Amino acid sequence: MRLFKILFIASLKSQTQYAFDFVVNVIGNFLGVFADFLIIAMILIRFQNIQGWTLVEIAVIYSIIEFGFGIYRVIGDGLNNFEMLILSGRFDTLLIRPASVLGQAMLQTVDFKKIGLVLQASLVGAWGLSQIEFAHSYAWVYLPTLYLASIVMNLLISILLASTAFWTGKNEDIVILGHYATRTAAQYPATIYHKFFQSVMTFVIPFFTITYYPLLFLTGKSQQSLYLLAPWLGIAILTPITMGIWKLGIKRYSSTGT
Amino acid sequence: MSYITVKNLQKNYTIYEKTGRLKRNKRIVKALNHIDFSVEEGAFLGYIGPNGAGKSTTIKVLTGIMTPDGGEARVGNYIPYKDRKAYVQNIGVVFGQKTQMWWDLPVLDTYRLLGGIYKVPQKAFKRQLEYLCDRLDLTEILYQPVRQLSLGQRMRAELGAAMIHDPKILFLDEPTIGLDIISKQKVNHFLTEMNQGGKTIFLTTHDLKDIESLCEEMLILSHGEIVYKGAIDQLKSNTELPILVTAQLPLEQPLDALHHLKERYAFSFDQARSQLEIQLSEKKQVAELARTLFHQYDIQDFRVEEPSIEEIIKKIYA
Amino acid sequence: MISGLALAKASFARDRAYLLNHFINNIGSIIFGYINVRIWLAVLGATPEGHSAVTYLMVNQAGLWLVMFIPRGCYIPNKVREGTIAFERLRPYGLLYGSFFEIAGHLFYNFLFRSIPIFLFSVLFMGVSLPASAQILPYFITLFNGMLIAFFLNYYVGLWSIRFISINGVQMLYYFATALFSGAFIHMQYYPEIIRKISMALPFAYSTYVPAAVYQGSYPLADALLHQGMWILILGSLAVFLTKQSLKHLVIQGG
Repeated sequence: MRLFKILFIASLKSQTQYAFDFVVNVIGNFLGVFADFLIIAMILIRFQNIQGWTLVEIAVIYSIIEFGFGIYRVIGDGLNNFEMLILSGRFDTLLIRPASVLGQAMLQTVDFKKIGLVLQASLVGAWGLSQIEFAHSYAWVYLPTLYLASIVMNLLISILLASTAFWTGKNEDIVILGHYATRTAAQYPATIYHKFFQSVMTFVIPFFTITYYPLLFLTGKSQQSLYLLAPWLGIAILTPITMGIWKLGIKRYSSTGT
Repeated sequence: MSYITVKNLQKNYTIYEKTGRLKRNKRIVKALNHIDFSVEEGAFLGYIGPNGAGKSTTIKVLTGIMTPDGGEARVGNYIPYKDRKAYVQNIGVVFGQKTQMWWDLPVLDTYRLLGGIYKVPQKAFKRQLEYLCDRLDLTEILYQPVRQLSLGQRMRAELGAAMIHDPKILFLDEPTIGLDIISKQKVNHFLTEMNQGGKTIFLTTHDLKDIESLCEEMLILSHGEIVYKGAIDQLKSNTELPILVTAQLPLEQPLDALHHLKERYAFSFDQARSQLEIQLSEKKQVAELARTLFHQYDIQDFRVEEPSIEEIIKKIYA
Repeated sequence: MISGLALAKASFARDRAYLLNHFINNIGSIIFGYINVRIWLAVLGATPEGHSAVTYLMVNQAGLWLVMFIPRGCYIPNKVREGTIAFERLRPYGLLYGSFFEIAGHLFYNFLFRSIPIFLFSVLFMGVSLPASAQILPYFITLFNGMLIAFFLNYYVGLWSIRFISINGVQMLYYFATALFSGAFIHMQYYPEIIRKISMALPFAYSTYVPAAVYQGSYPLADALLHQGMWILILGSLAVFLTKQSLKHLVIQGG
């Protein structure tokens, strides 16, 4: 934790060194992703709903997945660029230090510019939540856990995908396919996709467990209250699998090098 | 008529230093402070100076990369930063800390690319490639992607890249940095041969031994100003640093036997080891001293040390 | 011309080294396209209008690697950071010329190994219609013009890196503008009136919407050529001017 504090301050200092550059970066990150939402908003302004889901509801789903993704991009830059760590051989230096390898890999820097992603997710979420009508009043108590689950889920997926670099070296494209594409898919209701793709998003890269299923119950589209457990079930199953693959990767790395 | 002429050249950098949360301080650094020099065609010039003295800036101006703030640089009939496109056809450049090779491609692919860029005719390209492969030992690495090369291999490939269009002038900025002795020897040998073949070479390096063995002339830059220009031998004889003569006398040599040396030389005597040290200011004094010593004493060992080029230059920088 | 072609060839060869990675990337790209297509089919249903939207979206998705996702700042920012921009200045041509041909080689590669596979997949498995034979040549011509426009826009990002420290911010601004105003993800006809007007007054739509509309035969070729030509002229002259301005500020990092 002390290490994190030192890193946090050092990153903040170096990134805010040039105020103009920093501000442009935050705005750029904010808008770059916000375009996604504007596009879906324009579609819904014209067509009212997507299979019964209104713009307000989509906004809440969108904010859940994007909030977790934004936080991950702020604190998980090392995982996002994990191939660089492996290809440059800098991963070796993590192995010789007396600290958690995963923690070090994740916290290469804190990328404050990505705070723009969190901001836009929060803004869209605030708007959506101010308009939405939940079928159950306890939704407001449950909701914060969803945002938390989104952070955990995004981090787990990123660790899972980063691990592939132990085998493939370059893995940027695997990350784009496995994380960026699926997270975009999770911004919309599951039923617009084919059954096969729904299963992938539920059981392989289980982003639907933190967006679609809980919201299905909270908005009264389904009476199945067990859906509220979906995020935690998803995380409970994904965690050991992710950790197992990560450890397997390190084992492979230390026995073969690159 | 000299080949490279630099007149009154100036280049300043503006540096912003953060002094507070929002305040910053503007400071102007004079990288080149009105420098003048000239170089003959076919010369092998060593260009040295401590870090930040302005060496790289000079090279950047002479290669047309950077426009000076004042003064003029002229190479042949060109003003590099004005006639850049036509001029660069005549020069080859190696920046030891940067690579112009395409990282993911085999060495040969970069060469072909450069051949195309500089419009080298097919035949000339083939001839030059064969020549470079022979002299720089490139044959075995020609088909390897650059990222797989060792530092020494990469540097030889880098030299080849700078020479593929057979330029008249070579600008080399630290071409032997980080190389082992064997690789360095190969590179140096190649450079000597290039120079003998008529190429003008402009070399900056921190390795003074390289300069001493390769260059005829040198230029010393310090804090943006030229502090020495001339032949290397000249530099040695011009220095105020003394030549040190050490003579070993038989043990228990009585001190009073040395008294008549006192009149003519400043010396120190280590009585425990019977070692005599004499400092001379000029080389021609050595012979006379030797005659005196060998004539009058039973000399068992005799050593003459000229000041090293490192020491001379250290004194000049200071 | 010869030196430019040599540069384009090397650029092409460099991309070839990562063919497998690009194959995986294509799958990702197809999934992004799939998501868009499913959204539109959800709102339009299996109607002719829905079918036409699918074709429009996937034609754009296949072209994304030619007119939107061009290497950051046309490779210039990396060269500035590593100091290898110095070597660019040692070439017997200008920065604009060099960047153009380096990108040209890259785009040719993308056309063969990204656009064509994604397009073929869309035709075979996603029900995308082939263009009317009279539209094939007009499509390629307007697509080429679109690539030119996109090149200039990305080149500006590259010039930005010569003046300022990092380009992440402007790069994202570019993505924002191009995603929103190019019409890559929504056909212009579905935009709110005001956004459509803004879009048609900016260059982005002329690199993306216009070629795709020509493909579908809903934008007259003559208009397309006139409008694109105008933008190429404006953006090109600006590129020449900004290149001169930026190079005055070029400081080579390190050594």
